[in-house]
This record gives sequence, C-alpha cells and structure tokens, in this order.
Amino acid sequence: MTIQRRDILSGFLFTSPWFIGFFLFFFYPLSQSIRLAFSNITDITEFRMAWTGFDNFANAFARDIQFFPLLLDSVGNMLANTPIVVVFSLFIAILLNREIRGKGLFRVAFLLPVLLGTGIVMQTIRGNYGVVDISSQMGSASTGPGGAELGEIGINHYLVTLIGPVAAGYLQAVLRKVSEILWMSGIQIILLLGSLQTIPTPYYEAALCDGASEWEKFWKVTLPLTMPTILLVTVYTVIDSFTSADNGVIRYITGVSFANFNLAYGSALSWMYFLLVGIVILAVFAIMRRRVFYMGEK
Amino acid sequence: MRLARSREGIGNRITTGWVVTYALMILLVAFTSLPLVYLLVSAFKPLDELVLYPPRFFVRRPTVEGFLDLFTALDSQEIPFTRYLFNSLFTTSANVLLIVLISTMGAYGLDKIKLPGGRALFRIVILGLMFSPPAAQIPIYMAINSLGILDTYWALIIPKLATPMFFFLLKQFMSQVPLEMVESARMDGAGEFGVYRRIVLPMIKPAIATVVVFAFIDNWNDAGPSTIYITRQAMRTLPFALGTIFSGGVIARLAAQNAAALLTILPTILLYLVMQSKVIRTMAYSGLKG
Repeated sequence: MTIQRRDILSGFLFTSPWFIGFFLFFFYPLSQSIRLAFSNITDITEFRMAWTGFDNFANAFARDIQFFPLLLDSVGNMLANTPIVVVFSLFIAILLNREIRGKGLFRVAFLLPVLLGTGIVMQTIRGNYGVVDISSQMGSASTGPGGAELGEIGINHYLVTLIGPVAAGYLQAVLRKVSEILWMSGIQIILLLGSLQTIPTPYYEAALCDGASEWEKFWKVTLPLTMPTILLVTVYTVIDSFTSADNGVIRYITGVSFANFNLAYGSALSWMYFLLVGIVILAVFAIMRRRVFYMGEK
Repeated sequence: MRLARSREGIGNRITTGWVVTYALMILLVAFTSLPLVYLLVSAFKPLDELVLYPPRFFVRRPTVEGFLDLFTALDSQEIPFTRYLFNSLFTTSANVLLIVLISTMGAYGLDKIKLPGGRALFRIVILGLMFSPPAAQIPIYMAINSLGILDTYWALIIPKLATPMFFFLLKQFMSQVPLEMVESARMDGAGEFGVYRRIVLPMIKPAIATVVVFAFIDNWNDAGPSTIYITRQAMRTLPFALGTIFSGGVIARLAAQNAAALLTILPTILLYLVMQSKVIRTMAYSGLKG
C-alpha cells in the first residue's frame, strides 16, 4: 500500500463517524427541505410531495403580509444588538482578565450564571413556568402560566417604594436592556477572554517601556491582537441573533411549519431567510476582514 | 511614575483603577448571580413563603420539604422524578462522550492527515454553522424513524452528535498542534491512532474541556428531542418533565417545583466548577481565519 493510499484510508476512518452523522442528521434533512420549498405536500403520512416550482416563494412576496416586516425587524434587531454585544463582551473580558486578587473567583461567579442562563432550563424557569419569574431582572417577556405573581422576586416593590414609580420604571428599562445584552454574551466573553490571554506579556512590557498609557495599550496592542477573535465573536453574535428560538422570523416559520402544518411554505421561508443571513455574514466578513491582523503575519 | 504602576502593582495597591475595577466586578457578579441565588434560596422556602405577596427574596424559615415532596410524593407517581434524572444523566453523558470522540477524530482526520477534498468538507462544516431551518425537523424525524431508533435512548443520543460548532472549535484548536510533532511521532513508528491518542488529544485538553461544558449544557437543557422522538413517558428527560409535570401552576407542588429546578441545574454547576480552570484557558486560538 502506498503512503498516499494509507493516508486516504486512515483519514477516511477518522472522519467518517462524524461526517456520517453530519450527512444523516444535517445534510440530508437540509436537502429534503430544499425539495420541500419547491413543492406541495400532497400526503403527509407518506410524506409525498408534488413539484410546484417557485409558488411558495411567490406567495411569500405576494400574499404574506407578516413575513417581510418580521424580516426587517430581525435585521434591525441584529444591527442594533451586535455592536453592543461585541463591545460589551470585550469590556467584560478585559475586566475579567485584569490582574487583581480573587480574579478566579470573579470569573466563576460571573460566568457560571451567564452560561446557565443561556441554557433552556434557566429560560424555562425564567419564562414559561414562572417559578423564578424575575422578569423585571432578566428582561424576559414572560407570563408564566399562573405562576407569574407567585414567584416574582419582588424587586419591583422594593424599587417603587425606594425611588418612586417613574424612576423605578426607567431603572427597570435599563436593567432589562443590560440583562438582555448580558445573557446574549456568555460564549462571546469566554472566547474573548481566551484570546486576551494569548497576548504575550512582552508586548505590554515593551509598550510600557515606550511610555504607553493603559488607553494606548488597549488600542495599539490589545485590540489589534484580538481582532481575529472579535471577527469570530461578531459572526457568532450575528448568527445567534438570527437563529435563536426567540427570533421573530424563526418563531413565525416554526408557527407556519408546525402550528399550521404548512411545511412546504415554511421551508421556502426558511431558505429565503437563510439566504439573507448568509448575505449578512458575507457583508460582515467583507467589512471586517481588512481590519483583521493575524499574529505573525506581515 | 508609570513604571511604578506595573502589572504587579495594580494588584497590590489601592488606586482609582483598582477601586473602579472591583466596584464594577462586584456589581456585575451581583447582577448575574441574583437569579441563581434566588433559585437556591427558593428551593428551601416553605410553601407559605413561596406564595407570599409581595414576595420576599430571602428565606425566613428554611426547610427541605420541597425535596421531600419531590422524592416521596412525586416518586410514588407513575414515573418517579429519579427516573427522569437518570434518563437525563445517562443520555447527556453518552452524548457528550461520543461528541468528544467523533469530533476530535474527525478534526484529526481533516487537520493532520492529507485527505483529498478535506478543505471542501471543512467548508461545508462552516456553512453548517449557520443553518438551522425549523422545516428540517421533519426530515430529521424521518431519518430517525427509518433507523428504527424512535422511542429509544439512541434517539436522544445520536441526532445531535455531529454539531458543526464543536467540530469547528476542536479543529481550530487542533491546528495549533505543530505538524512537525505529528510527523516526528509517525517517524518513530507511532500508528495514526497512537498519534491521535497520545500526542494530539493531550495537547487539546482545554478545547475538549470547553466542548464538554458546552455540549453538556446544550443537551442537558434541550427538551426538544425528548418531546419529538419519544412517546413513552418513562424515556423522557428532565427538561421535558420540568416543562410538563409541573405546568399548570399547582400551588401545592410549588415547593417541589423549586427543589426540582435546583436539582436540574446542579449537575451543570458541578461540571462547570470542575472544568472551569481549563475552560478559561481555551479557545485561545479559535480566531476565524478568513
């Protein structure tokens, strides 16, 4: 057996388990949904479909009065949230990366709830079933079935008695926004923290010798060297904002597909949506690529 | 003056920056850990304190009656709570183990072995990062159905094994392991599997720890598979149980609900505490290369 053939064989053996799973549960369903988008289901139990060409897509343009406003909404949300999330995560990551006593403790205490908060259990607890419904704190628009008042944390009451209803209202709005951003930033903060830690300390020492201030060090050393990760984090945030279950379009498509059981139309909407997401991500790359510099590159 | 404020100096002397940093940190930690503390506190509240209006944050007379209720009253029901707990622990552990195994193997195959079409395959994985159409749910269901694993633990374990995000992270991290190292191990007569197990795996431990934590959180919290692919109640997992058996807001069960919520979140906390020192060190090299 030649070396090359042995390479192919072992490479194949190593990669096949993952890719079999990928094609079975990802690629195949995806290709099915392309077919669905151009069809109509004639028999749901046998999953038979009839080819209808671009009808589903035409319907989205001509008849659907909900889809495009939602689409615009979702792009608007993404544009508004992504820069805030990225800057905020960078800020937090830098804060957590500072050389202070007890930083390990801070990291655990800060990141653990954030990580848990991205989990559905926490969301369920926060939202649906209302045991720990602290909507004033977490910013989840939640009305748990019958549980909202039972478990509410009562921050409202404290605030209102403390600073009056108007100021309390403003403060709550701010808190809601901050927590919304915070709970979108868990993975981003970890990614950035990891990246900050790879910046070699001699760089900072050299900057210090040249008399750079903290502010200059951030712009001249930290930021350029974290750029690749910032790009990753930006793309991740964009994707997350578009594909999270809270997203209006995703909710609408899920509703069309399963509540109304119009799978074919749902597929067509999905594909239009993901085409848009793809374009947005390409745009992000195009804009950011010029500013990204890789360590060791000239 | 500036030299005096070197990196070590910041940690030991009280400066404005120091005060601001600590104040911000404490504020943030208070903000994020509040729900968690509330969850903890609530689990030990007696019923009358849970229904108190206006509610009180801290517990006055702590009790374990919620836990007792959970393990006695609910355990005598058709499906005991411990069964859901077992289902979740078993399927999530199997899932995480297999994810790590096949993703690291796949990443090794693409990154350390010259495989024709390897680059194209990796591009497909990157594309996979951004697609999750809800409409693909039905074909996935049909794939599971035709494998004949509907209503078994396999249906909870297999479908989410090939997750592009984890593959991507591991591959990016693995590409930092120098090829020379792999080559020299091969020269010394190590088989491909030996190189993978003895050289590459130990070097990417931080990335593995990260994937373990994320994969665990991801699967532990997902009620989806157990709702869609499972029809027997005894096979379902915790998040599903939390969503259904406690829904409807039965006030008498409120204490048990809070206890269950705490127990559900506990394994994740423990796992994170064990893994966290490694997690933070990770993903150092996961920056996107265009």
